[in-house]
Amino acid sequence: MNWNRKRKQKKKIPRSKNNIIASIEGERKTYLAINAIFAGIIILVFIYSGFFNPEKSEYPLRCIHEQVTGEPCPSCGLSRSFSSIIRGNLDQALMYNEYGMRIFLFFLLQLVMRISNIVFILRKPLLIRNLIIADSVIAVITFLLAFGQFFTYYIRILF
Amino acid sequence: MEENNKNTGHGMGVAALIMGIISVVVAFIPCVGLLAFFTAIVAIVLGAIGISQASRAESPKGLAIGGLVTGGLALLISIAQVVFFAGFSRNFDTIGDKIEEAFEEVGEDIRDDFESGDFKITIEDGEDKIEIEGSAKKEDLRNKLEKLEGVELEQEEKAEEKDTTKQK
Repeated sequence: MNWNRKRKQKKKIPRSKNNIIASIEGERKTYLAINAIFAGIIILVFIYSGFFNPEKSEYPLRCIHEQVTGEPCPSCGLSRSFSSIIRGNLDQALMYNEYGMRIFLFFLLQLVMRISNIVFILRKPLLIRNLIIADSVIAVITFLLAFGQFFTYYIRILF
Repeated sequence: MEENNKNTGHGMGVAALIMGIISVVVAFIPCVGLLAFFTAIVAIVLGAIGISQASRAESPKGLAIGGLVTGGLALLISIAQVVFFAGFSRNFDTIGDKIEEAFEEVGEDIRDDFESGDFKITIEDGEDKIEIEGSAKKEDLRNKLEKLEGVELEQEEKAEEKDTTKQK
């Protein structure tokens, strides 16, 4: 009962222009921070891929699945594939992992999106909510397109 | 003061959401999916703290909920891998014993077959059925060999006799 009253009272309070601007400003800062962090992480992934040579295979991250079962998993060779793409060896990249190109494109698209979102939101802060919705939809669709093939792996290991 | 109240739990929510999204991406990569188990737990903890702080200060908790949901999803995916690896390692201990047992059984079967020395081959094609029975016992084989040799000797003797009669 008290809760309902509180809710009604809250609804009655009219949002002033200043409040709306403050709320948008808060959302803008948060969104900028999230975009900057993700852009940084993707750049780190690319630096990691560019740093190691695919032919020497000195990658510090080893496949846990292969270490436990002795069999390669669908994502084995992804690091080597990324390294090959960065070096421009696309045929070699496909040889290391058939999904490597698709996942690399996903990360590249995400990097472009993060940077363009930062630029867009700095220029037009009032469109932040529309941008967040569009960004979420595009990110989920591209994520499923890039990583969808690994669903079969999880279905196989579970059933 | 009011501004501070509005931002309570906001930082935690942002951290939870970022950790949650990273966990989901990592969880979907089979090679490193197991690592998402830890990042997902961090995301869930941060999300829960963010929600409790935000609800206490009556500030928005959308980010913290987002972090909690993505963290939960990543945790489910990584648990699938944990279950698989746990099952595999449990079976791995008994795989050696099972292979040994199978080899012993096959060895015993082969030994039995050699000792009995009897074999039976059945070929079926619809209504047609062909059965071939035989024996591979050492004694039987020796007898057969002697018989064959005996037949050969007789044939040779007969041939020699024929030659001698012709010459005469």
